[in-house]
Parts: sequence; structure tokens; C-alpha cells
Amino acid sequence: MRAGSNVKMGWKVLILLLILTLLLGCGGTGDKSGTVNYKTGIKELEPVFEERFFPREAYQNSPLSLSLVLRNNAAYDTNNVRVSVVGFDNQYVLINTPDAAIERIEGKDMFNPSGGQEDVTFDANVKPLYGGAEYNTQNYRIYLGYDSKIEFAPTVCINPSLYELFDSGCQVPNAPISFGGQGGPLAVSAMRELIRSGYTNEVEFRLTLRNQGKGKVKKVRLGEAKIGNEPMVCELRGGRFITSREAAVDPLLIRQDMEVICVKKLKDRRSYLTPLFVELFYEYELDLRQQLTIRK
Amino acid sequence: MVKASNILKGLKWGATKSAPVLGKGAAAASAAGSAVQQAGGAVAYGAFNQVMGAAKNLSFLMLVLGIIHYLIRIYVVGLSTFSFVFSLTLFILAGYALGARVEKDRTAILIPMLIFVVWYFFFDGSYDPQFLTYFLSITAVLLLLPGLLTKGESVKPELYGLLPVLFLFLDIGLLPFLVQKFNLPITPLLEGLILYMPWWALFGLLTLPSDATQSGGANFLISLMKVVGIMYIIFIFVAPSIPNVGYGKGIIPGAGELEAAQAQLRARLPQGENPFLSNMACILSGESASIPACVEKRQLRSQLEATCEQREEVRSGAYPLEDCIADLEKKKQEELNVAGNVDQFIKDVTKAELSLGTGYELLYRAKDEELKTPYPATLSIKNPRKLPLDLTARCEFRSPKGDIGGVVSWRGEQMDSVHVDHDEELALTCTPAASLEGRYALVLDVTLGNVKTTSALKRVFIGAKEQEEKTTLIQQIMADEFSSASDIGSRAPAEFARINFGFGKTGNTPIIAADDAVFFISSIENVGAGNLSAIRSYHFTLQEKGFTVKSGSADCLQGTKVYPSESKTIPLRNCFLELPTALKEITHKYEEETFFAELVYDYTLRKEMQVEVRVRG
Repeated sequence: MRAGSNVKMGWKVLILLLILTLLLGCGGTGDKSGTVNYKTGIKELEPVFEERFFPREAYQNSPLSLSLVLRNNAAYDTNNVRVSVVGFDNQYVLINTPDAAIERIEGKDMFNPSGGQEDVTFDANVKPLYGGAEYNTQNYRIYLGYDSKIEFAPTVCINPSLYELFDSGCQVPNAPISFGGQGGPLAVSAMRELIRSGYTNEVEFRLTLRNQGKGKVKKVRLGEAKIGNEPMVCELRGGRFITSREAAVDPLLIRQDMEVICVKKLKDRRSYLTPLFVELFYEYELDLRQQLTIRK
Repeated sequence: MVKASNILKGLKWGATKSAPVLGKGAAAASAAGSAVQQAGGAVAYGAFNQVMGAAKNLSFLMLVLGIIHYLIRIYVVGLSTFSFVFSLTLFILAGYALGARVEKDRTAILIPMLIFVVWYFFFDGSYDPQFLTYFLSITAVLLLLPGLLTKGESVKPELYGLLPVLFLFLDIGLLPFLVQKFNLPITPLLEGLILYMPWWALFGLLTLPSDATQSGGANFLISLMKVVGIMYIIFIFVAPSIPNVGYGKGIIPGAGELEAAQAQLRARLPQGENPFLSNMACILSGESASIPACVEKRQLRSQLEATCEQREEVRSGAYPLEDCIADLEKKKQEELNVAGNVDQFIKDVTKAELSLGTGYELLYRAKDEELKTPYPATLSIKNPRKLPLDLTARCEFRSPKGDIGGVVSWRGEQMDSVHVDHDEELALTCTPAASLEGRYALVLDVTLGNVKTTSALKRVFIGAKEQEEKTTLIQQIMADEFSSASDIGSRAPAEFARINFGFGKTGNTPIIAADDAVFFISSIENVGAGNLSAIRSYHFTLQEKGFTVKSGSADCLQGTKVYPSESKTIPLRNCFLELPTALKEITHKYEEETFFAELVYDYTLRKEMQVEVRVRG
């Protein structure tokens, strides 16, 4: 009996150990830096305001220092970063230098998984309150502008023979495919592939560009575009035309979709999978409303 | 809502179905059928009663709890978290109460409520278009599926489920948060909606069945109250509609913020009579021709009454309530009559109060006695900015028989003037130059010389911008800096007189672009109880900031020759201005500046008193 109960106990312990092993194994270590793809989702350069470094209250006749941290959560470097403080009444707060510029803040990648970060400080002087007022509230804004890019690189199917029944290659999707972002605020949200068969075969890709971040896209410009290793001809549609490869966004429309149309003549009649690569540069701007209360 | 007619129809249908007549067993079948019919009817009727009973009880409960919740919110300070949790509880109870009124598919009411809770609390009320596409698609499926399975019968309960959602949002302070966060101007409508609507109690009232009690009279009263409840909302909505919320991309606040904002707004807004009661009182009093004026008058009086009741001297009985209300009414009327704005934030305000001594109204003298009694007066000066004031005074005794001059003494000494540069209480006397006999009006004029009042005006300069960017920027600036109409005009402390001024495209346009023609206007306004006896000078700081006169009066930005008049407002010279380069060629988004206007003037305060000297013997 005792031996039997010992065996039962042993099985129980073994099962428990197996379960524990499974749990621990499935939990994972979290360290997957080698396999993390940062170029997904909607991410952007974010300003971080910490209360002790970015005060909401100040006293008259005293110096003021506003410090914020710019943290790049996107998967791409942000260049030509411009930060401005706008809106203080010069009668109450005089900012010494209301603009700051940073050449580059690195994006996230496997060598820098947390992304780049920069501190920006604005020094100012708070002047006396007029008329013996107990306090005055100043509304102002922080404007953050930068240039960056996104890369759209899915694997696509090229199949010029739409009606070929016995081709064991891939299938071109009939409907647009949705995407969840490429690691920046601007994203290719959908792609549609059209094959034109006939005297000359060509493939057309229609990419929907959408601003999914918290700010505004000011301009978009096409960079490199290729399918496989061969360049593609692309043009931008929507927005304010500048050139066929560059367009501005209407300032009154915060969420204006644009379209990128790329066309490539096909030589081969077989179907095959191949990488698509489209690079898009954009100018971005974010403005954040802030408040400072000046006390006596 | 349970329809009794449907129940009754069911009864009929059941009766027909359950009573087939088939020959011999017909009687027995008929009896059985009859019994079944009665039982079925009793069951259906019992179910109906239960449904109505449950609905009634829950609605009453909602009404009572809604009132308790409302009272706690109004009268108990510092319980915003408790109030919020109470609201959530009432939200759930509201769903349950509505469910009790629906005979079928009650749980369908919970679907929109649950969807709202998930969206608001778990997804933080996200309005991201991509998220919304997925979320709304799932919501549509969740809402349509029960409808399909129940052949459309769950649609109504699902729609009912939106009502608790609506009332929750209204109750926990969406409106005050929009006011505070986006600085929307508060209209009388908003005041009524924010302060005086017990939403959950109203919900309970509106969901009460029409035959909630056994008493016909009570049921009638409940129906009447329901109608009154709906009329209440309509009455509140006849006022100017809710201000437009066009200022931001997203306006979903946190629920805790909503509750706190409501508490803050309640503290800020003046207390007074419920606008609905004011409306009803005005209608019942027969003032149907001028209800808005009547309501405004009643509202003002109730606010003044509430203010006076908080004063210590009124509570102790030393200062009669009616006198207090009358004094405040007078003050308010004066404020309402003046143009321009008072800067409530400025505390360093120069004040002066003149009063004549009492007890000298009736004096006696002997026939041959030369009585030149000095009549006392007090001048109280508050001079926080330590202005160098020159005080002069004159007095006389006026009567139809002829005026007798008086000699003013300051602190017992005959002086032409007194110089004061701090707070001061001065005793002065007026001694008649000759003996008085009969009735006179003692008139004492004290002139404060060299009073200086400064007005301030805020303006924003956007330089040269493209039209679309200009439009967006103007919207942003109006929301940030000029959310209230009083922000656009000049402001001055509540002293004796002030300069009102403005400049822009139309004089009152606060945002100026580089290519705008800038028109400058100004005037002097007497806002005190006395007379503007002399204007020594006026000056605007625009010149120091680089503005120049483009056309119009060359001395519009400063001057000395202004002749005061009897009129409360004296217009000054206007002109077109040239913007300084620094405010034209702006490299940033915009620049904000405050400009000042300084008025130096003499102001005369007058006090009069009826005096009589009787001769004896």
C-alpha cells in the first residue's frame, strides 16, 4: 500500500514537473532581440514630459526651465528634428531661445532596441505679474517636427497567368490586403495588386498611405521602389501635387489618405513570390497643448 | 416597454387555440380547454403583473437613488470618486430596470452597455479610425446576431441599452468637462444642464409604468411628473443651444476627470434658483410676454440672495438681507451697464470712499448766535500701488434761498490739497462760511487728482501664412487664448475710469496677420460712481513696441487734450497702424503680446446730505 502510494505520488510529482516545464518553456525569456521585427505597428517620435523637469507652475520674477525628452519609438531614424515653444505672452514669460534643433535621433533596431533619446531644454524668465494679480495662466504649445521614412517590404505573388489552372506557384489575392503599420506614424494600410495580361504583362501595386500617428503629415516623397531587384516606376496620388513623386498634405485635413501606384512590366509568365520594396520619406509635425500657471 | 395589448392578444389567441370543439368529448374538452384557458390567462396575467411589478419597483428605486445621488453631489463636497462609483452603480441598475420593462430578450439590453464599457474603459475610448473599423465591425456583428437569431425581437431591447449609456455620460459631467477642457463659454443652458439635472432620478421617473400604484390619483401624478420631466428638458433646451465643440481632434476624457471637472465647475458657477423653477414662476405670474427677462431677473436675484446669505454680517442680522441684495443689485447693474471688461485677477485696485458724518442733520441755535458748526466727513483711500494722489475738496450748502459756501479742513487744518501715496483714512470737515438757518443740501466734493488706471489688451500675430495653415492656426489660437468673449477686449481693474481699446482688422479681431490693415480704436469710460473731472493724459505702449501711425489721427497713441463730458464714454482718436517688422516677419507659428494703456485723470466723488438749522427764541 505504502509502495503503491509512493508510486502514485511519484507520478503526481512527475506530472507536476512536466507542467512546470511546459509553463516555463512557453513563457519564454523575452530576449528575442535577434528575431524582433521593429518595422511593424504604428510608432513615432514621442515627447515625454516629466513633472519635475517640465513644471506646470512657476513664480513671478524667477527663471524657468522646461525640459522634455524626445524618445524615438519608431523603427527609423528621425532627422532634422525641430522643437519649438510657441504661445507664451512675452509680457509674462520671455523664452531665451524658443527653438531647438537635433540632427538625428536613432530609431529602434536590433543594436538599439529601445531607440534613441534626446533631452531638450528651454530656458525662460518669468516676469512680474501685472497689477498685483494673484496668478496668471499661460496657454502655449510645443511643436515637434521631423523628417523620417518608412519601408514597406512585403512578399508578393507575381502571377501573370491568371487563368492557368496547373501552375503550382502562388495566387494573387483578389481583394486588398490590410497592413498594421511599418513601425512609423505613416503607414501603408492596404495594398492591392492588379495584374494586366495581354500583349504586355504588367503588375500594378496600389498602396494606401495613411497617417496613423498623433500628429500631421506635411509632405510625402517617394524614395526607392523595386520589385525583386528591379526598380519600379511609382507615383504619388492624393494630396497637393508637387511632382509625381512628392506631394503635400492639405493642412485642414489631418487624416488625408494618399495612394502610391507602382507599375512593373513582367517578362516571365510563371508565377513566383518576390519581395516588394517601397521607401517613403515624409515630414511630420506634432503639436501639444501645455499650460503654465504663474503665481505671485 | 411591455405592451399590455400584446399580452391580451396572446390571451385571446391562447383561448382560441386551446378550445377545439370535437363532438362527444367537446364538453369535457371545452371544460378542460376553459381551465387551460383560465390557467394560461392567469399565468400570462401573473407574468404581466410580475413584469410590471418588477419594472415599477426598479424605476422607483432608480428615482429614489437618483435623488440621493444628486443631493450628495450638490451638498457634499469632496466625494467625486464616490459619486462616480455611485453613477456606475446606477448605470447597471438602469440597465436592469429597463430589462424589467421588456418582456422578451432582456439580456439584449446589456449588449450595448457592455460594448460601451469595453470601449470606454478597456480601450480608453479610442477613436483611432483603424481601431474603430475593427471595433465597430465586431460591434455590428454582436448587435445584429441576436437580432437575426430572435427574428428582430431583440432590436428594441438593444436600442434601449443605449439609454443607460447616454444617461451615464450626461450624469458624470461630460458637459462641464468640455467647458473646462475646451474653455467653451458657459451659457445659461449649460448652467441649467450642468447644475440642475438629476439625470438618474429622471431616468427612474421616465421608466415608471403608467399604472405604477393602485391609486388612480397617484398614477395620474406620476404620469404628470413624467410629462413635466420631459417638459423640463424641453424648457432647458429653449435657451441658446449647446456651444459648438469644434476645437480638437478627440474629446474623450477619463471618467474620473469628468467627475472632478463637474465638481470644480459647480464650485465656480454662481448658486441660485433652479432655472426650471424660474421659468415656471414667470409663466404662472402671468409675465408671458417677457419670460426671458423675468427669468434673468429671478436668476440674478437668487444668485445675489445666495451671495448675501453667505456673508457673516447678514447671518448675524447686522446687515439686513434685503439691503444687501439691493446693494449688490445696484453694483451688478453698474457692471452690466458698462462696456469693456473688468480684470478680476487684479487685486491692486485703487479705491476711495467718502461718507458724511451722521448726527448733524438737525441743529439748533439761538437767534443771535453765530453757529458755524463743522460738518464732519471721512475719506477712506485704498492705494495699494502707492500712487501719488492729490486730494482737493470743496463744499457748499445749497438752498432755494441762496447757497452758502463752505470751508474744508483736512485733519483740522485748512489746506488747499492733501497729498497721499498710501492707504489712508482722512477726516475732513466742512464749515459754513456764514450762519445757517433753515434747510440746506450739504454738498461735499472730493477730487482725487492724478489717479492712474492701466488697461491691458492681448493680441496674437501670425505673420505671413498660407490660407489653410492660417485657418488651422486661427482655430487653435482662438481655443487657447480667446476662448471667452472677454479675452478679446481690453481689461482693467475695477477702479473709477478706464481706457477701452482694441486693434486688428476690425478693431476687435485679436489675431493679426502680416498683410492685415490694422485699425486702432479707443475710448475712455467712467465706470465709477463719481465724475471724471479731468483727463490729464493717456498713453498706449504700442509705440514702444514699434507700432507707427499709418493714417488717421497722428496722436491716437497718446494725448493730453481730452475734455471730459457728462457722457459715461468719451471716444478717443482712432487711426490705422503699421505693424513693426518683428511682428510682421514671424518665423515661428505666432507671437503673443500684451499691450497696455495708461490713463491719468482726476476723479470727483460727491456726497450730499440734508441738513437743517433751527433758530430758537
